[in-house]
Amino acid sequence: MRRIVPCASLLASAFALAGCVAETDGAWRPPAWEPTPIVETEPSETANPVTVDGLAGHRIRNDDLGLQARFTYLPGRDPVVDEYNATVENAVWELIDTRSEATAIDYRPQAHDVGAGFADRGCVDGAAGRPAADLLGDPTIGPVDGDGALVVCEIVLARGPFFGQRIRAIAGGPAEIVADTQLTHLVDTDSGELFDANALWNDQAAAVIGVGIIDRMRRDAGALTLAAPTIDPAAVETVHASLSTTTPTPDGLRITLAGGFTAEALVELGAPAHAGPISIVIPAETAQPLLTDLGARVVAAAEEPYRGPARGAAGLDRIDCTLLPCVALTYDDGPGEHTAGMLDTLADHHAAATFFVQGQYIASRADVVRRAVEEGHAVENHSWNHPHLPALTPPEIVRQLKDTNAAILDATGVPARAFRPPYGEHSPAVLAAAGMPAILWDVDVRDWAGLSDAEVTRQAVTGPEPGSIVLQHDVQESTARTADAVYAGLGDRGFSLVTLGQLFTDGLPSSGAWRSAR
Amino acid sequence: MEHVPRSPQPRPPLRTRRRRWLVGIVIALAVCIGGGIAAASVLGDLQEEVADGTRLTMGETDSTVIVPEGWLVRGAGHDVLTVRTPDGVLTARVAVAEGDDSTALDRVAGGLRAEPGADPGAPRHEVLASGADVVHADIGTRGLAAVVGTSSVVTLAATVEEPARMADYRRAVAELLEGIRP
Repeated sequence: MRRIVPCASLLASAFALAGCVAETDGAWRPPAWEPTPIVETEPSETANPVTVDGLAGHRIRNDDLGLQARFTYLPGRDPVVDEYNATVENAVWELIDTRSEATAIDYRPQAHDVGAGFADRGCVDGAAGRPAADLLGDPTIGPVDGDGALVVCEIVLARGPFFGQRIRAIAGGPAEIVADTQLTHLVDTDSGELFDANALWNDQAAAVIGVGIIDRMRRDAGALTLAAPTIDPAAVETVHASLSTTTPTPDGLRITLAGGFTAEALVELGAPAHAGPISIVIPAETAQPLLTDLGARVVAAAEEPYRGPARGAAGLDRIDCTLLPCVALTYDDGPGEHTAGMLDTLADHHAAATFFVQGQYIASRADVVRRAVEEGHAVENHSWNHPHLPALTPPEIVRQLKDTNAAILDATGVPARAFRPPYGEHSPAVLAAAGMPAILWDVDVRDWAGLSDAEVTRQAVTGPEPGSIVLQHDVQESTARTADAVYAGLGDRGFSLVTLGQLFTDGLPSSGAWRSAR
Repeated sequence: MEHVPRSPQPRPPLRTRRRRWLVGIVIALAVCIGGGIAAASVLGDLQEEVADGTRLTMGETDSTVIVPEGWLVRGAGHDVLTVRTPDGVLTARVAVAEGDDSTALDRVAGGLRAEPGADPGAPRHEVLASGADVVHADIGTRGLAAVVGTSSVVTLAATVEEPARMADYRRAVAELLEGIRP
């Protein structure tokens, strides 16, 4: 009996305890948050590195006004290209006007010292996502000493007929960023339609995308509610403004919110405002119901090769020499045996020049003269056989110039619009007989004087100022040998090499004698 | 010396012996049954069950909770529940409590030490999809305290076992919180 009772108790306890703890399931996995249809990416990551041959990249820095600007034109000239390039250029002029007012200094293009590094020009991959202070302090992008204002572009789209670049404008200094704005300028080069990136999205897009962003941010901040996130009107407005930064990418559409983004729902949660810019990608399938027809066409073109305007001759591109530091290289006395090779070198540098040809040599090298015009260079009149024009009678002067004009027109199909008097000698009688403006020079490289190649290069590179006209001779071997170094050196100083027609921004003068376009 | 034989102990009669056995058995059974009843009462609270996803009333209060289906529940019907995720990694104590939400959170957070030296993080206020208010705070990387409701409140103190982190179980905690009606 004494054994039975404990035994019974033990058995009862064993049975009871055996059923006390349920078995766990090691294969069970905790549920995850529903994925938001928005993917956060690194702000500095280049969304869509685009390499497009033939774009005309530019870079200006003006140390009086404290600004630097990098931007890109579409190549060539037609109404669509011109309108797009004017839009881009306006963004640069707005910056210049602002700085001009702030400093009370009129803007004039500036070139820089030898070795300034301005051959590196045009847009900068990843510039849209870099911190503003970083860009201001970057000497290849920001104003001198990092204090002032900048414009920098990033090519964000070159697919099918669509081209786009994002223009970012920043003002401030090491102590404070005063302004930081971005706008993506897009163009359908088929239809000619210009639009900013907001036009890709419909009216619901900002709120829907904003809710997605808030959902991500609240989870990162530790939210536990399963209630659908809400968005307040101010946050919608912030997101709407950021849609202008839309960049099509292979994965969808990327937008960048400026730093400091928050929303009422996040404030209530105690989440701090986002410190830096937020770069997010909205996958194509998520974006689809939020797009306009135009936006849908842009996304649909994501896999197509770019078929926008192709690179043409430098002399045919848009150039505004009130904005850019320009120099006109002029070559006298040809066409000669070196002229064709110099055309090759000019093409390599995407540079333009003006050839003052002697009428007597045109017939024997008509193909070279024609090629020069076809490649965007200017061919002008340097008399028939290089006489001292003031020593001639008016009829003789007229004949010298008229015969040469006829030969130029015959060879190229394009009439000459200016002449250069041999030796620079001119008089009122010469000018009156010519009926064309006489184009002289303000920089004489003296390549005819037996200078060393180094000296020819030095004079050609260091001599010009914006608006200069440089005299050389394409019949001189040293000029042909040094052409590559001269073009590179001038580009490095920030110059754009242009024709005389481009140098005089209001068109070539109709009369008179001109040493420069200043 | 005269040997006087000891008179033998008189054996009880057979009927008496049977009666003693019966009494013993009855007592033993009574002890077993009584003990069983008492043990059942105590062990019932320790019994862990698999939740079926239905709403459970917490003790004699109006507070209820839906423990997600498949979770392990101990103390069903009482005003303090201990629940575990099916993998046993997260354990949460859900209790009806007195006081307002912030004092209750301080109390719960103060009593929760998932990690040595882990202080409660900043309290976060939210409205659940259920419409109930919740205030919650992280306790290090493996603990979480929450209070659902404002006037009548239900507290939740959750921990996860190493090497797991609470971050991996936040969605599970959210489901549990959404099932609480304080």
